[in-house]
Amino acid sequence: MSDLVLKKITKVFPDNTLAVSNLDLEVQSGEFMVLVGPSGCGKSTTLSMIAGLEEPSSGEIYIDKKLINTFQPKDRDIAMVFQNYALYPHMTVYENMAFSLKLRKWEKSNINKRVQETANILELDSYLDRYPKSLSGGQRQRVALGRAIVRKPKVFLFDEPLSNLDAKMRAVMRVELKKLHDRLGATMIYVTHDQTEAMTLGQRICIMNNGEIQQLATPIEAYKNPNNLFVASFIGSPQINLIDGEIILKQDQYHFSSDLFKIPINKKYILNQIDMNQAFTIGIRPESLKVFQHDNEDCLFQGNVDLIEPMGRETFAYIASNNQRITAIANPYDGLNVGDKISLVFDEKNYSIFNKQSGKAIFNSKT
Amino acid sequence: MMIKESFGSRLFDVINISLFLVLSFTMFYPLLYCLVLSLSSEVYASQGGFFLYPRSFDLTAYKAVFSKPHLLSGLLNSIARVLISVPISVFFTALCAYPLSRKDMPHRKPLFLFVLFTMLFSGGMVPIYLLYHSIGLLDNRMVYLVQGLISAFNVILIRNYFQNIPDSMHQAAMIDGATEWYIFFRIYLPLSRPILATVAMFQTIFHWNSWYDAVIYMNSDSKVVLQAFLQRIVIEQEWAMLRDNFIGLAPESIKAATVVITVVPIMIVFPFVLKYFSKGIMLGGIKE
Repeated sequence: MSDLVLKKITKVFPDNTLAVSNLDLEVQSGEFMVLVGPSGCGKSTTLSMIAGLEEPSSGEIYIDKKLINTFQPKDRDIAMVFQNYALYPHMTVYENMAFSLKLRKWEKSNINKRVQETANILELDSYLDRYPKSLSGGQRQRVALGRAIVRKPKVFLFDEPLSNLDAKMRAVMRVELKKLHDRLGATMIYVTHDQTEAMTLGQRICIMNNGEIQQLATPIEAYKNPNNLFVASFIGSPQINLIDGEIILKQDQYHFSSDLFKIPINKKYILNQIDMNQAFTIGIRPESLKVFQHDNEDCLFQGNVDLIEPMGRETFAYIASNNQRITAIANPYDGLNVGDKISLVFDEKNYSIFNKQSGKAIFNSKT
Repeated sequence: MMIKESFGSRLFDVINISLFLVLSFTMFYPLLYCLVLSLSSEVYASQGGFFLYPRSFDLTAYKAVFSKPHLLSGLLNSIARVLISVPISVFFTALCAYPLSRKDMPHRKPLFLFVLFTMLFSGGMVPIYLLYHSIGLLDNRMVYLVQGLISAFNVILIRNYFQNIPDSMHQAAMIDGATEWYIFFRIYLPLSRPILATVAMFQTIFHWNSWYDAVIYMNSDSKVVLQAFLQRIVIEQEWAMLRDNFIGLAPESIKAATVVITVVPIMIVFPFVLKYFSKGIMLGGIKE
């Protein structure tokens, strides 16, 4: 097990595109770290720099406290799993897995032993003589995993390895990856744009945008206490409700006031100094809004059901109110219909307020 | 239940098939014509016209060609030229194409333009002759190897094919510990069999059909390739006719016989190479 440290890493491409800016990241030994963000946020470039496939414009990369900036990819003792598997199509599963060991001039008997061991872990024993073309997507990705784990590297890098699989296979492989991490206890860095993968796999997640880290936290922490508007809107499905408004001070009590509602703010959770002249946005997770089909005395605001998405266990209700579209989670057995007038009751313990201009969180009720 | 085709769709099929049949015939007929002409007696051959089968079957033209001295040495020279030059040429062309296909190759663009330049402009016959003279390639079989060793057109073909091999394949090999040489030999070359077979076919045809270099650079008859030798027979026959020294053979028959002798080996080899033109060699290695 090894730790990995990135210090002030910047990557500027020859066409002056700034891919990664001043990135500091410490991945602890044996940790499963997920880099998550939208396309072009710099997560894959960061991974490529760790692998040695891209050279940082500035900054330092350490594995086990050893500066590896100038090391060739093969000398970094890392393994990488690619989105498109990148298996060698003219080699059998066995040859694919044995490739790196052969290059390291291992003895044939040792190669055989290690490949068999790995194939056993990944349940690939009966496919060793097959070519990649005769395997299913999930099996191919398992071979790609096998090729990575066969030589027990210090750090595993995963570049969106499940993106090409169908939804069912993705869920299966997610579980397998998690089990694999528990079994190997290895340091793993996983890049994805899928927040479900990030939330379910990562011990910590590093949310990136425009080449910068937006938040580095455990998945639950990032979900409950987003640092900024970007993190709030990126993490969570269905997306967080963002409602613009202002903060007013009345008799020494702060209130958030919007076109839809007005709520008091608990002073002790305010993170930053509030400039009352600025615009603010409140972020409320859909599960914090309870749907009632009759009038309720705690009602925050009322609206009409615009669209319904039944998910089985729950129903996503999209509600139109005062020219805003709000998402709430309803009980599927309530028999909600499009056009129904409903009341929404707010769980006041679960919301965040952001400075609209800077995007920074100034209030987290869950802090 | 069969889906019923519309009248327009059927009419399109009929016209399409008819056009392609005509096109196929226009390509096939010249070959058939040469074969038939070479097997017809000189009377009919000199008359010309539309032939579908030999009129008055006659092998005199072939006998005349095969009775010439140095035919065997010419044939052996041609076979040796193809067997030695083609693999070496394909290897060096691929070797040149590989770095040009890599996006991380420094100064890739100017180097590629440099290669492209040679496709559009050449040094000219006299400078090349003087160069070969100065490095001792005149009347030397090595000249066959040097001629067309690396063709810019083939470099572009192979380079484009290499560029279609996903970068992740190269990156995976780098991380696995492979050197550039290893990646070239063990990953890129095996994955590029279709384009290598295509270039090998082009080079085979080029080397097999070349006669001009033998005429220009060779002095000894024993080193001349078959095509130059056949070309000499055709010219001799025409001269003989002009000098009234006609030996009872129409130049058309001789020409047709030489064309058949030239083309047949290529036609025999082609079906064996055809299997390498198969697509889908990347199947399974990457998710597209």
